[in-house]
Amino acid sequence: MAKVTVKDIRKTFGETTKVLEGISFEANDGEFVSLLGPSGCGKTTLLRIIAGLEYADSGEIHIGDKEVSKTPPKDRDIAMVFQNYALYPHLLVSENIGMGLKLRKYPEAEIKTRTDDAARMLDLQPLLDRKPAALSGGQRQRVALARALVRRPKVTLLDEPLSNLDAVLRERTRGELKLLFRKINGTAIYVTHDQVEAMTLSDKIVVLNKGRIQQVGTPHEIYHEPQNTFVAKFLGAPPMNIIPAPQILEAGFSPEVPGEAKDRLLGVRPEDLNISVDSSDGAIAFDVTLREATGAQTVLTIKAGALELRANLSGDWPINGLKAFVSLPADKLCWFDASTKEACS
Amino acid sequence: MRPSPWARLFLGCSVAVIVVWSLAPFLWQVITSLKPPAEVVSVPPTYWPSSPTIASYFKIFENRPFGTYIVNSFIVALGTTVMCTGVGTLAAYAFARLSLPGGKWAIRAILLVALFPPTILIVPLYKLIKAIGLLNNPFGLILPYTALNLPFTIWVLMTFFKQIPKDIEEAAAVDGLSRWGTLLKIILPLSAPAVATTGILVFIFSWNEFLLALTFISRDAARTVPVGIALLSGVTIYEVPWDQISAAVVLTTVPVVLMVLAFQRRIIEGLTAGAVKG
Repeated sequence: MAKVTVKDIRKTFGETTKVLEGISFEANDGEFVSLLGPSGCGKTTLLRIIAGLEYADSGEIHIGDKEVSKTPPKDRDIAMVFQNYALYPHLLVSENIGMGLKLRKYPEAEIKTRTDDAARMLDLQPLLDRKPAALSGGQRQRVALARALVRRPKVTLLDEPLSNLDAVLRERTRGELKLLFRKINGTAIYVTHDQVEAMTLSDKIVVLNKGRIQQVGTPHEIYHEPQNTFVAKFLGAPPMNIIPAPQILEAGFSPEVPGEAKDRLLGVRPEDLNISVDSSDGAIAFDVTLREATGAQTVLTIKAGALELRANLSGDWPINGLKAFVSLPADKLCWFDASTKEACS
Repeated sequence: MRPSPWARLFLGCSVAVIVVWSLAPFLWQVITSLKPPAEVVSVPPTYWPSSPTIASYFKIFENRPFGTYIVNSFIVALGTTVMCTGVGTLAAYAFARLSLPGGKWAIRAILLVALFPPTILIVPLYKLIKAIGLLNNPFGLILPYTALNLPFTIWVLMTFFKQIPKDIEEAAAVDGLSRWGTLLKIILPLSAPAVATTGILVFIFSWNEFLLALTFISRDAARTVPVGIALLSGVTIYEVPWDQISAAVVLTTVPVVLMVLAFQRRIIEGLTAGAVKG
């Protein structure tokens, strides 16, 4: 296991399409790092550059204490799990898992023990003598994981490994993945566009958009202290309310605005709003325009004049509750600069 | 839904008609080859030999070095198949996976070559083969056959290679396979049906080719079967030994049929290749 350092990686496709514009971050020994961002943000390209399947135009990749920017994938001591598993269809599951060891000339006996270990860890023992075509999606996914882990690589790279699974299986596998990586304590870099996966699995999240890093931090930091409005809106469902400060003041709220109100945006998570059917001191009355109950929680869309907010509360909201009284949580407000969209404190 | 008995009957009859229609000429050759020479030209023709004999099968070996022809044909057809699939596989993989400068134009140019009718190539090819001293040599046929079949081979294999998900090759690269290793251990096993299919088609072409074989080979001991059959002659130039010709045709068709049957499963897999994803 080892530390991965990515330094100022730049990549351009064709003449002008800038995919990555100076990416730097670190994945410490044993850390599970997610690269999170919308489609087309360059996260997969970045992972492929770390793997050595593509080469950056400039910048450096260090794995352990080795500079590997120009090293082919097989000499980087990495393993990768591909989005569509990429198993060898003509080989048995055991051969699929053992391929990397065989090519590195490990003795037969050790290949066998390690394959069996990996298979046991992922519940694949009864399937070792099958071919991938005879496996279900979830089983193929586990074979792909076993193939990566059996080598005990310095770093495991995972490219949206759960995206081809159905919802139930995805959730279960997500949990298993978390336990698995905690057990082997391996460095992992995980590409996903699914914020839930990133939040639940990671020690550290790197949020990317349009080829630039938006924020690097723990899931808690990313969620509660977003550095700009992109991160604020990308995480959370429903996303954070972001409203120009003057509109907030106009509606009757009186938060402490850092700096000039006209230069500020207020961000507040829907679940952080204090909301009630009963009026209280300082609370502003809103009309409930939409009520979306999912059972465990209820999402309200509420309106007061031109100001529209979304609120998320656990449990139910009375069906005849057409008025909502809202006050702002003073300690959970995020402020952004209206022109740069960056957080300001 | 199970088809109704009438539909099945109709299907059976249709298949029977097509089979009889396709096999009739061959069947006629078999019947003719079993007739004594006098009966072959009798009017009205007999549909079943009055006294079946396999004498003509021996005569072709007595009158002509037919065994040599067969060996020559095997050498030429097998040589062409090996060369063609070997070179074709490498070229097709390069076109499918490596980003070659000008690759798009090269692959079109290769297709263009296939558009030339071989007939117009004969004279220049003859001069070329003569110049490099390969007349009356199996390589004098193997080389042009390979050249004529390569465009087809490359196109078929390239299309097949492109269907193999790129991820599998990248997984192989991460696992530690080189490009060659990937081609030999991953790509080729996965595309065995396609390679077998093209190989058999190339073999059949080379086995049956007549025009170049007639032109480039003048020494009897170096001739291939199709030319040998065409040059079978009777005692006088007025006598055409149909019985022997038929025997020769049957004899030279059988190996090809056997080979195709042996590879049939592979061919079918190859022809339906796109249907199942890797």
